[in-house]
Amino acid sequence: MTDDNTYPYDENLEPPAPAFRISVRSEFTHREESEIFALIDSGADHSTIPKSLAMTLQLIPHDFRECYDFEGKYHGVVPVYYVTLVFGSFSFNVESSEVDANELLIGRDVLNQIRLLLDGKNLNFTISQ
Amino acid sequence: MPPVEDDINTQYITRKVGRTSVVLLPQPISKKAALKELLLNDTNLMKEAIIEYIRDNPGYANEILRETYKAIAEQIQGTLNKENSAKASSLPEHSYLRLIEQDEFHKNVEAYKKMEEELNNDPSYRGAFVVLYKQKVVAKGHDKVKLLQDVYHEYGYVPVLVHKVGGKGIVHYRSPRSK
Repeated sequence: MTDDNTYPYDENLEPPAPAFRISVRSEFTHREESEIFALIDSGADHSTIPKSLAMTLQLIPHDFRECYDFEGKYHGVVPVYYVTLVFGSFSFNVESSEVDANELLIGRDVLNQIRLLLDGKNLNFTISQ
Repeated sequence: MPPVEDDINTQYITRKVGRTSVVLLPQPISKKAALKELLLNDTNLMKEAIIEYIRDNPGYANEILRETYKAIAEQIQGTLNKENSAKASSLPEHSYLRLIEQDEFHKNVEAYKKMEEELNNDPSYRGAFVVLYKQKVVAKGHDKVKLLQDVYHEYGYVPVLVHKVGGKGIVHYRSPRSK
């Protein structure tokens, strides 16, 4: 993080991508995990969390969604959980879908509440109100 | 058996079961300690205590059972971990409890899908959120968060389904990625 809400692209991804480490907590189980790898993905309708994180936070699903990938391929019913995503000075209560993936995706449910500047030339991104 | 009275405040209920003083608490975290203690010492006494408590306090049945599952799961997992088997080390935290919750979640989803058309055709439900608990509609309303808070207040943090009747409930995720 270069200043409060500016983050470097993750250069481990090829090509580099806007991704960073965030905290995720549950207001119901009062558990919190930090250093969760999160990828910004404007292609995702909603934020998603990895199954392993749902287990660690001991979440119980309260709703479901029918899940499709970018090709329109149906992936079945996925559980939905309330979680709070925390990064920088921001915190968002979201209904996140569980997916079989290693990373958390920050989707348009969050992205549509912030200003996001992708400075690809300099490989960093800035989040502001 | 070490005393568990440290946890007691005026809201707690103390019962005498056989030779053991059993403390079952309305708050899950404190109750967990009491259940674990009892489970480790005398399983039969624990069963008697739980049955007696639920008879007297049916409103806490789900909380008590949930904590019991958790205590049993932790004990099983602890035993397996002690054996240091490869299978034990790969067991995720609270996997047993999660299986039960996931099963209950999918049962609620199936129940909802069976009744979806009927709910859609009922003007009093269309556009509202319904709450399914044990595959039955137990509440409806237009504020999802409040519904969930109310239902957790009543039944504890248990598997329920809160779903919008007629809602799309679809998620598209993930942009294409190279491997």
